[in-house]
Amino acid sequence: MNDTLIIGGRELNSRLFIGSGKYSLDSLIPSIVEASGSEVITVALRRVNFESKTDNILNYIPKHIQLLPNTSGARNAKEAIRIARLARESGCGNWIKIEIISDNKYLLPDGYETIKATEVLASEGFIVLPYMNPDLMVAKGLLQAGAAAVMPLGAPIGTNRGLKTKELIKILIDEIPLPIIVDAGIGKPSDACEAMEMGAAACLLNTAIASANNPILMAEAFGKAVSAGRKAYLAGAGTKAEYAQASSPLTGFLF
Amino acid sequence: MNIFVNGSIENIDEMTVLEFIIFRGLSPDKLVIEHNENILKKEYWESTILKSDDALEIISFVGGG
Repeated sequence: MNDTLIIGGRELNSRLFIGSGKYSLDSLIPSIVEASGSEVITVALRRVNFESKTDNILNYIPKHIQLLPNTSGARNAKEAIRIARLARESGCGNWIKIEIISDNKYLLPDGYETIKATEVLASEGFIVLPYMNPDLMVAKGLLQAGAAAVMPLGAPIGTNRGLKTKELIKILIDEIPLPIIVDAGIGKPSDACEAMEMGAAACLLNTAIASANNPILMAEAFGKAVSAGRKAYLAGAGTKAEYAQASSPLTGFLF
Repeated sequence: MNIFVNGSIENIDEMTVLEFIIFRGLSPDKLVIEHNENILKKEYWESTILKSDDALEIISFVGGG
């Protein structure tokens, strides 16, 4: 069955987006990409560290993978716009994950500044995927501003706590005519599966894979969970009943 | 002369941006540079001569979520 996700004109066969941070070795990344089946990977932009001789992260990302640079480190729209323009200048495409955070304890995104940055960057031709609180009014603002998708958090970044905001994300799925990509907080494959069963268009996660004892095996598990959840959503779950409903015929008994 | 590179002061001889990159042992591909807060396109690295008090931000991709 053909069930691709189209974002920014690009057809994606996998609905799992992965991050490239926190790995013990960057050289694990090609195996993570392969095991997960993911076609989109996030990266960050930072000042070059003259003291460290580590390889450039791009050397480990297969060429066919869509890069999704983030604006991490930005505290307002102006800084996010500056980072986005730098990312595009690198020649690695025009996708950008807007991440504007000025709260260091919970790392929650600033909706107002995120909408402002989305409006400017979308008008400059960027494919804008904003990280957001699952708030309906902010999502409407992002839609109006030209976002290509919205990426509500399931729980605070890096907490592996799962879909704590499930009810609010469901409202976005029902009301916002954009792909809803659950980003942040997903800890287990079952969390990702649950988000997909509910109708999320995709899931983005980093810590859950990077912090696993065996990140390559966990990447594979997440790939399967996202795919299973998506299929279940398309199939449509049966209704719940309060009392037992026999699965075998209630006629023709031997007794 | 002194210039500012990624927020730190450096004392250098007169040179172009491209010469500076090579002087610091960096590979020019996969880098992005801001020169006095404006993005400096790669085709201008060779012709842009650094002046006293210029500010360079030399940026590259790292792992992130």
